[in-house]
Amino acid sequence: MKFSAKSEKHWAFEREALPHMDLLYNYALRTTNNAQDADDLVQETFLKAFRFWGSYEQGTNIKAWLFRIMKNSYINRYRKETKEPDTVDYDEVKDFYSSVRHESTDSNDLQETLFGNLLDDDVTKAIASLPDEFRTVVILSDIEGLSYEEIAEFVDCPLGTVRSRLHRGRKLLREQLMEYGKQRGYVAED
Amino acid sequence: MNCKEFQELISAAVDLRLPDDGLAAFKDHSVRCSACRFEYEAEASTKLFVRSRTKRVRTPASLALQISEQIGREASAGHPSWIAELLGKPLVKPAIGFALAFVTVLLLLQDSMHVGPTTQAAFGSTDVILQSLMNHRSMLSGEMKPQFASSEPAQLAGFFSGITEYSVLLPRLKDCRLVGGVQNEFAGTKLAHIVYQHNNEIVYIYQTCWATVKRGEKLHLPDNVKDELLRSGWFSATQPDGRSIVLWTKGRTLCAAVARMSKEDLFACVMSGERGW
Repeated sequence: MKFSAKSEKHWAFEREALPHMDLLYNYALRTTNNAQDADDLVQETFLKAFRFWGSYEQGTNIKAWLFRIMKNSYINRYRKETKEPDTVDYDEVKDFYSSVRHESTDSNDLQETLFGNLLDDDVTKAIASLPDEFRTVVILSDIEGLSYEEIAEFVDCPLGTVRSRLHRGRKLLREQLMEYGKQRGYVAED
Repeated sequence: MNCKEFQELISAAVDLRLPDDGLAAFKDHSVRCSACRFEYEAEASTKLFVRSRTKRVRTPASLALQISEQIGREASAGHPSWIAELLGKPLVKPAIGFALAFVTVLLLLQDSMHVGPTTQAAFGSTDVILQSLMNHRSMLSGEMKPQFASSEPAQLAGFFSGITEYSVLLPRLKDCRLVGGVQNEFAGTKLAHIVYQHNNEIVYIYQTCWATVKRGEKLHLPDNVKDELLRSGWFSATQPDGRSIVLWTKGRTLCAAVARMSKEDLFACVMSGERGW
């Protein structure tokens, strides 16, 4: 609500940036897999965004702008804490997981066949375990429901890259979920 | 289409983004190649499974509040606060402070009566509790000032008359002085804000349409709070910062009172106006 003592900058920020808090919070939660870390990350993001509000170009995609601030904050935090880059070469990890059975399955039963009765926590854990570049597009597409165009703007890459990362991300996710399923005995070993 | 080309299009097919001219070739290959067909079906199943097992959550009210307050502090560093001067200046001795404050508030409220209505909804959260706490904070910091100042309920009722689709409730509260009110909108929903002074504290009451909040689209309450209101008509809680909030419903009106006092004291304070509710 607008009252006379607020500055225009404060007003504009509340009106344009704060409504996207849920999007950032959900992403932060999925990425850090830790409520406290997600809180810290979202707070840091909005504080930075407010301080650098002058660099936001009015009329451009505010969600993408906020998201990029959050990504940078996350990367800086991660690097400070681990001194390791947060990327994994897909080719290195893909052999780690057992491959899925290459046979056609009735699509109605496919979810059951692949994932059995996995818990929501398993899904959360599996998403968090994905390499960053794949986790980001899977969260933005399959949980947040963003379009390819929006995702491309968020992560600053071409549409084709979004598409291929989604494919690889979902495949890694599937394999990780199947691995959990096997460990829990929900899914038969090959 | 070969297997490599098919693999590159799987995500687009799963997300229904295949161009018409590529669809026929994609379908044709999937009929002929069971391994590729499985890959497509498995990716679609993964997407559906993840979507069904993950819920989008709302930002916790405490975090949203913290962020808004942080932004507010950044924004208004150095700004004077009319109500803080009135109520909370630690350097002013209580008796002198009270006298000064009384004069100050009269002057300020007279001034604020000339302020035109401001109806721009800006704070993003749809959570009524969060909005109430934020508005109380804005009141204390001086960012929020009454648009219409009066200690007479009838006069204030005139100010709100015909604006809201629910009754704005203006009871006399024990040991409280009515200070004034603000009306505005949030996402097209009319809001009424009433301010009382209780000793050296501000009692802020947020009022809106209960049916709108129950629907949860433009405004909402956490499920446990809504359930409690539907069950008993009342809900109260104390925040970590010592402020309390009491919510209740009366007819088509939802009220949320916030003050820096225990929830028992705040409850007793609003209950003293029960006849008016």
